[in-house]
Amino acid sequence: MDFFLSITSTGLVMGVIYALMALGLTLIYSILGIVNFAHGEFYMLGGYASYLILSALSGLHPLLVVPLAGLAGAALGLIFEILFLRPIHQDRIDRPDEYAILVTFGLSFFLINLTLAAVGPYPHRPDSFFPGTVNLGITRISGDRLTAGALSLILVGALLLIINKTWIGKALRAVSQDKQAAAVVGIDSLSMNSIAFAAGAGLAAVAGALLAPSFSVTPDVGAQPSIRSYVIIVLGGMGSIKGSIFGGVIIGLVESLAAGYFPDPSRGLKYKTAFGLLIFMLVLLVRPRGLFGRKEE
Amino acid sequence: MKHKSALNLFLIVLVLSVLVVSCGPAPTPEVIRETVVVEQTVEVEKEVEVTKEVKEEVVVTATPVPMSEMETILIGGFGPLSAPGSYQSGTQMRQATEMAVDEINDAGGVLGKTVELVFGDTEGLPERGTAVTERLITQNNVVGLTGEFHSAVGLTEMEVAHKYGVPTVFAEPWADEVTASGYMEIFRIAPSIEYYSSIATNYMVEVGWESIVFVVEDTDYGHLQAEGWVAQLEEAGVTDVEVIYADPATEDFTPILQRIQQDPPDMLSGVITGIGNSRMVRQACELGLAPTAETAYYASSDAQYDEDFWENVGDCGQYVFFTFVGLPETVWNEKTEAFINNFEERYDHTPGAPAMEAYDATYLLLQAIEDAGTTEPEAVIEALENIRMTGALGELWFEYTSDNPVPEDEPDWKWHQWLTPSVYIIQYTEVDQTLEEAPVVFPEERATGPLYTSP
Repeated sequence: MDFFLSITSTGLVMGVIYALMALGLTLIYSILGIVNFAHGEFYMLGGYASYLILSALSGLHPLLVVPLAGLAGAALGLIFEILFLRPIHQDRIDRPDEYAILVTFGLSFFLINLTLAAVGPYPHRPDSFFPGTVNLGITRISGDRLTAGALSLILVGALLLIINKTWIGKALRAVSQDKQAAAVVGIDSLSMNSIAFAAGAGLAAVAGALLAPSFSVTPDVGAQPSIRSYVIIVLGGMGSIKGSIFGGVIIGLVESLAAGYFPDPSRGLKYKTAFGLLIFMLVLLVRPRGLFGRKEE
Repeated sequence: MKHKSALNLFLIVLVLSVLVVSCGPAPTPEVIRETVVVEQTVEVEKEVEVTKEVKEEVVVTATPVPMSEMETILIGGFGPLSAPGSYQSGTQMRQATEMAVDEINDAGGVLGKTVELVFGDTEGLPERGTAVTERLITQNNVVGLTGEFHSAVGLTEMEVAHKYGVPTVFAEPWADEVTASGYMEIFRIAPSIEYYSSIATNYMVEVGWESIVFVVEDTDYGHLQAEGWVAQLEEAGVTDVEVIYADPATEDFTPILQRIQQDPPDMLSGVITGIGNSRMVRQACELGLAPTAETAYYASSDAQYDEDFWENVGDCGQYVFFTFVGLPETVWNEKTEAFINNFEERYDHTPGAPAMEAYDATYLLLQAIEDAGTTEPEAVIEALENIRMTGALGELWFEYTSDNPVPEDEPDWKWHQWLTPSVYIIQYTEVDQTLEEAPVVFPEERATGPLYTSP
């Protein structure tokens, strides 16, 4: 029983962090209608921003750097959206779907190689939020991971509050449901696009900054979180905030339990990601719009 | 709806690709032969003319540029400079190769000509290795090849080099098959996997650990290592050995470590190249699994990059031990010292074993061209077979050659193989210890510290 609880708690903590990362992707998809294939690279940049800021400003507590990394990610996302994605929504691009895939893929390759050239190939790790481990009785968990999980939970709650209770949130939801109707009531969908992309990139960067002390950063560190996020948002239902949260937690738990309980431990670890993908495929077969996806007319 | 359909399609393709790649066998090298059709006219008694197709295999050769027409001597380097390859090691290999070429040019070049290096990024992918080698030989017209980190890539590059007859000095691929191929063109100064594994096995047996769990990367390197250890340990009477394979890009090893923690072994090993090495050290330590008084921790040789190691593992690195290829400070020669100092000064980073091997491999190739007095492949190969050179790794030569074939009772991989590479076990006994400060703990005759220091 203790083993089950310890494995489950590990999966839950990771699941909440996965959810935070996926929420950013959901936000972008539901408002802009595109999949950001450079999402993992915003995660990577968040980790590097955290590391570089802490290296430059010694004495700063690592927790204070997390919002700065998020802001850096959001600023870069905003610039990219205005320069490269806005033309899609101004009908200046002939084949917008293909363009969106290519331009975000292009950004992904560009950011990886730029980082490789600028920072080098060696892994870096920012200072710990709280060094050492916390004994939860059933298991020990590092202070960094516990902090990352707790902050992710707070951020997910804050995001839900913003989406549901503030004017900006309502405006974003309005654009996500019907751009023309939103325009009729005076909501500028182009501004909402920029806000959504910046917020999505910022959330990925925050996730990267939160996990950097646990997993370190390298130029290609965004690949796995990125793939996992795509799986989560489809599993949860494209464009569904609630779906991303549940999807994140489900994937976190499945990965953890599979590695812990699969009869052959080697396959349990090796196919950890594949188990999440199998759950994803099963859900899609039974419920093609995902767990919480809304029906499109 | 259109967006959603496209994304769903993409994700399903992605899922299937991941599953296929996960379940599929490791890529195997392909022997490339080209078939040409020759038309031949044959006269028969009835004075009827027929056309007959005759298929025959031909050996392909690159078109070498005559020495007299060469303005520079072009050599090719290859290694992983981007993901999914181990680009940290590949970058160091390229830097060391460039450094060797610059030093040789500063000293007057080779055969009175400037040496030029063309370095290809193989990305750690066998198919890229084939393409890069083909391009270096046929487009760049290099006269020799050196480098590579990954065995799976080296095995495909080896076939291309053999097809065109281009002398190649491999720096780092460890697979026994590299030199066991028996190809005239192929030489290697990295240890073979059998030899490399045996040092760690002998150490584990010497310390007396009886239950061992290896978490190794799911690559040709990981499999070869694990198979070597399991067989050698079994031979030594250690049978409680478990091997768990992991994707080297794994972020979170915690669930499997929690599973191992249910019955902690005497020794836990995390043989994952790149950042996975540090992640596993930290996570095992944070769980209180290893290194502890009960469970020792054997890390991958990436722990040799001391600055990166300590930055990424913090205090968890104390008492971790690992295998190191190269010379410990106690037995450095002048060339080792000069190489390490110059590398650190030029690139602001400690060189690892792959850098040292790439550096020496480049010197060997260029020394052979100088000795041969020409870039003709046959002459360069003959010069390599007879070479004896002091490098940063020590005295380099190839014992088994055309004049002295591998005896029947010796393994085939000894062909064109440097037989005495230095392989040591080093343990970090203090936090933030440098590679030079950390004691060599095995083999005993070279040890500078106790066999094993327990937490």
